[in-house]
Amino acid sequence: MKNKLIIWLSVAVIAVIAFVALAVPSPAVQKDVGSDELLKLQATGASIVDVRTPPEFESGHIASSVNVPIDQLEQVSATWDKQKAVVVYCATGARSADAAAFLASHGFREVYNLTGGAAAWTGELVGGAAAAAAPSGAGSVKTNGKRLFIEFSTST
Amino acid sequence: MKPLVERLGTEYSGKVEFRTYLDSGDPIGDALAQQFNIQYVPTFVFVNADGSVSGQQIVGEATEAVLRQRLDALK
Repeated sequence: MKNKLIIWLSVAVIAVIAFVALAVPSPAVQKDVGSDELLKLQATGASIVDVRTPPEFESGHIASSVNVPIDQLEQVSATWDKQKAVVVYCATGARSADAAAFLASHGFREVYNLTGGAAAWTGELVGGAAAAAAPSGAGSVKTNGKRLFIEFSTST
Repeated sequence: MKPLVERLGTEYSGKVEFRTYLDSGDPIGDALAQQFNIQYVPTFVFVNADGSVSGQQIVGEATEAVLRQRLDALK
């Protein structure tokens, strides 16, 4: 009698575990990807979203990407299919990391962030016809023969 | 970004000239900001020794790895 009770209890526990495993959806995917993986995701239909500003986007962007500046992401993404994979990128991967976290926390099942952003992108950038000749939208710079690193920043 | 840029500036001293332009008021900085159509700070621009611009501008905070990659790519 006692053995039968143990067997029935075991069956009940297994049934409950199986039910929970099937009823609860698998956890959402949120991970960093490189250029090669982005291309694979794009080939499988993932949306590529550039969260930089419009001037940055216009200076050159990944082919077939859409520009949704990060400050507009909440409003624009409200209409998107949350089951569809989304890859976000920005200039260096910092803003898009925030964008990826936002999307994942709002129910998107597959969210990917391009590591290092456009600066680390090894593929071609399109849309920047003027930028192709002068990538930063400017002509040459007087350098005195030295390599230059120019930072525009603020004192505050 | 300031400590990182200062550290890299020291490390790359002799190989790359580091220039920082803060706010407006500096005639050279203002002219360059206009030339590069700078709208947001920080923005980083990389220039080869021959005066040609290297790659895309970086707008916003950048990691040390990305800055090093771009600095090392300068010709």
